[in-house]
Amino acid sequence: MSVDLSQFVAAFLEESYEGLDIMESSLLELDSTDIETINSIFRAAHSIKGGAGTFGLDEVANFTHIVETILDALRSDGMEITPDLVNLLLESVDCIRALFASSQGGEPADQAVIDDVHQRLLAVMGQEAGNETQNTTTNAKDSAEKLWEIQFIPNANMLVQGHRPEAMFSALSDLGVIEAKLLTSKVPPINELEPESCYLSWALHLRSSHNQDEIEEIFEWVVDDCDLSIRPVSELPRSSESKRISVEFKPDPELLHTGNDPYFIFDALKQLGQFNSILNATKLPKLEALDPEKLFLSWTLELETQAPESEVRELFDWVETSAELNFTVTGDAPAGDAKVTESAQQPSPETAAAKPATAAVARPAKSAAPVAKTKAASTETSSIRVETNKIDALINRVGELVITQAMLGQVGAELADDERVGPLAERLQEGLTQLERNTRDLQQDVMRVRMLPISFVFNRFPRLVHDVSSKLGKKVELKLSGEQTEIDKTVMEKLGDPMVHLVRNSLDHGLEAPDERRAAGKSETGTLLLKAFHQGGNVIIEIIDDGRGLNTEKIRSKALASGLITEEQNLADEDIHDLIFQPGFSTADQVSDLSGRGVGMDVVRRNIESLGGNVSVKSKAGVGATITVALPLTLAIMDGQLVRLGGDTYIIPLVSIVETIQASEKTMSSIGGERRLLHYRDEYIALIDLKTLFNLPVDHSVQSNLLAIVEHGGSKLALKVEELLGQQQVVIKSLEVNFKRVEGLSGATILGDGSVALILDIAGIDKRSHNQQLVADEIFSSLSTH
Amino acid sequence: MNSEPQTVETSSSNHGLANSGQRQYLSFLLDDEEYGVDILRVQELRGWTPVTRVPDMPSYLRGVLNLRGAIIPVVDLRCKFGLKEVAYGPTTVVIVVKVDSGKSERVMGIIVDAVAETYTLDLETIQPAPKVGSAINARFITGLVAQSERMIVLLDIDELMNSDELAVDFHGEETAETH
Repeated sequence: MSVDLSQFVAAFLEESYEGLDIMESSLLELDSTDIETINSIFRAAHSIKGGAGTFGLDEVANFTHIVETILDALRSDGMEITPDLVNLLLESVDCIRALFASSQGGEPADQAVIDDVHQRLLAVMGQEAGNETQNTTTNAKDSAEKLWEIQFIPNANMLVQGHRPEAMFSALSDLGVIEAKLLTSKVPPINELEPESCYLSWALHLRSSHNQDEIEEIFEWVVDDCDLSIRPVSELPRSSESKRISVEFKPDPELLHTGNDPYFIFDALKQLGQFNSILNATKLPKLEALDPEKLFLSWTLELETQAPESEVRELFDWVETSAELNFTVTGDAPAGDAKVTESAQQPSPETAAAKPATAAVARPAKSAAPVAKTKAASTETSSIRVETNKIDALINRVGELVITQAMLGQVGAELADDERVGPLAERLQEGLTQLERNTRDLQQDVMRVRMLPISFVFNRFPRLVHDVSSKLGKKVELKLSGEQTEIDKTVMEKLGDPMVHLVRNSLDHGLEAPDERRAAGKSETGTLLLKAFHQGGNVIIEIIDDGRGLNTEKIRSKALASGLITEEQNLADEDIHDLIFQPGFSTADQVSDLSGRGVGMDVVRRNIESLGGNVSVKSKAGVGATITVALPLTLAIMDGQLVRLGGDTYIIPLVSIVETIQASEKTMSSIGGERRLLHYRDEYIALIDLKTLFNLPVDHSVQSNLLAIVEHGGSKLALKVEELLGQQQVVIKSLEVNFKRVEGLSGATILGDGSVALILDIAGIDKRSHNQQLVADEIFSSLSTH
Repeated sequence: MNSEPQTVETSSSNHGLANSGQRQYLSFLLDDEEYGVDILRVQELRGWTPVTRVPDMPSYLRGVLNLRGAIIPVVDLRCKFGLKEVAYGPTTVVIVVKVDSGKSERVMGIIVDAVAETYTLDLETIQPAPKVGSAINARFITGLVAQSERMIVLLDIDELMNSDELAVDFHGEETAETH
């Protein structure tokens, strides 16, 4: 029976692209000791190869096979990782991506490039095969796996010093397979326990091909704070010598009077090996006959240990006289299922007493595993794939709900004022308040579904920085911070290109070449920091470099030459720096294929402003530059200022409002008879009467000089409005879906009463007023000339 | 300024050919004249509620309306057809129609005096529109049909609702310059 595979192709491709991304990012952070990273690259390559084979993409499968072979050599044969090899592998990731793209009907992959990479991969493989024989003879000793016994007895103050044993164990587990045994003999009674002290010690067995130095290196930081012994042992005296001791332990009812406590014995037994106990409570009397000081329980204890039987018997020395003891010793390790039955059969007091002890004792030993796990978890987060339009539908629906809720809230408020309704109105009000809260929570949750960590954008930069800096011959260290900051998917998708521009600019113009840095007394390696964080309702992204900073003089002279500014203008440094966002501005001496063509920063600003954000630059000569991008969390919701214009309600995005003022007549100057400029804080800014601009009916009875000062693209505008209403969060609706784009409007929203309010688009208004001005000027000039 | 009338025309005539010979029309009244639209294009009927005016639009474009969360434009057909305007009353109806606008389907409202009837019409009985000069552009009319002594003007919704300022690729820049 044949299965139609085509339905799986899309999912496979999506997974493969993700796999390639993982390979790429892992390759960039790869260093030789990090087996886990190599493994994750290998796994990604392996699944791509497997999938490609299944779906008949032989070219991809064959190519990936070679990559996989080399990766396998890296992880198991100790092949050396060199920067060249990493570069080659990165190139092969590109090739695989290209092959996928061409298989999807995209551009055909460049066969010459692929063949070249293919040949080089084969060459590496051939070399490796040659080395292997050599390795086996010369390095036989080192590469063979050995068993190491590590006694690790930390001093009590180790934790205070800030050392974490679990981190060391996780590092050890990267070297090989470890088995840890926790020793708790030094743990004092609880009333003497100092929570900040470490009473635990460990006996570890490490099976690894690494040598003693490498193991010692892990303990390098704590070596003064602990007793450490590391020695090779021949083989673990394991299962072959371990035996199973079973003890029937039937204490006298009076045992507790002798001052003995069975749990101490059990604890001691736990130290010796794998310990299970089965409680027998058959002799437990009825509750009314129960003497709390007597012991009615008995146990069957099972211990799997390497310790001699005598050592086990010793533990029972003190209770020998007051208990019935029965020792059985069997040679074989028990079948695994014995444990299962035991834990299932544990009822009654024993559980309560023994469990906390087990848990407390077991935790530190276990933590070695969780640490390793969290590392894995960060690469493969648990998720499901959902089509974005399903999520968008959900968000729309919730938007409706918010509007309906606001509507109900208004009705509820009106009812509350109505005396005829009485106490019912109050109950309604309560319900509505709850509804409001729930709706708001629901809205936030749904919005979060669309939110993705910004690492999706940041992840492409290690590669970009790697490639660009090697091309430019610069040494750059890229640091990322706040990658988990979440941002709306749509915003993120549109953020990628501007970010690439900004990062390239920093690499190209900001950071200096190594010798220039040395001359300036800086370290040769420049630092580029990408930082994301939340601030208010915004996501702030900073691109910080420690390069030469902006060249204020050069920008000024360029701006003068291109007529952007005039000689008389006395601009502050910040204003001059801001000129780099002007269209057609570039100070690069040479146009490189990276940046400097003069299309760039203005496009960046435009893109970011179209997302409702803004971008600014701060720079200090010789110290570096910081570019700050502020973006709204989401495009679907925004904070708006409601204003009244000619009887209608309009919304101005709150983010663009600088302030609202009541202007006095004398600050408004007129040119050519029309009032068109406002003298605002030492500058003249365009004054736009929105009603005139939109051809709305002008009601002369309303005389207000209420102005909203708004900012866009670094310039300010004063908008004349009739009345300021409230501020509220609005759900942005498109006008285009059923209508069309209207200049000066960015969309619409639905108010609490169900009516539609239009959202003003500041950039559009600016443009529109310019156009109207042009028309007016033409009329004016034609009138004056004739 | 206007876009692709041709595409729209072909799509609507295809419509006619694909049919088994009969089609249902919803008719409405405008100043005692009866007009009909393909009933399959009608999404719903609503009573008149005030709309939000959109700045700088021709007067027939009354504004936009909240249709369960979607923002839809509303056209006054009396005004569009150059008939005298009347105050909106309790029988005033907004017919919400689906308009094929080339790449996308848009939902729009048309304001009419009242809804009249639904008819099932034989396509053969539909006569082509005479080329008479009137405010109603001849290309908005698919045909005429006589029904119980009355003449019903059948409208081409796609032609009508994609014309002039309602056209999809009617650019904002152009608007600004024409004013």
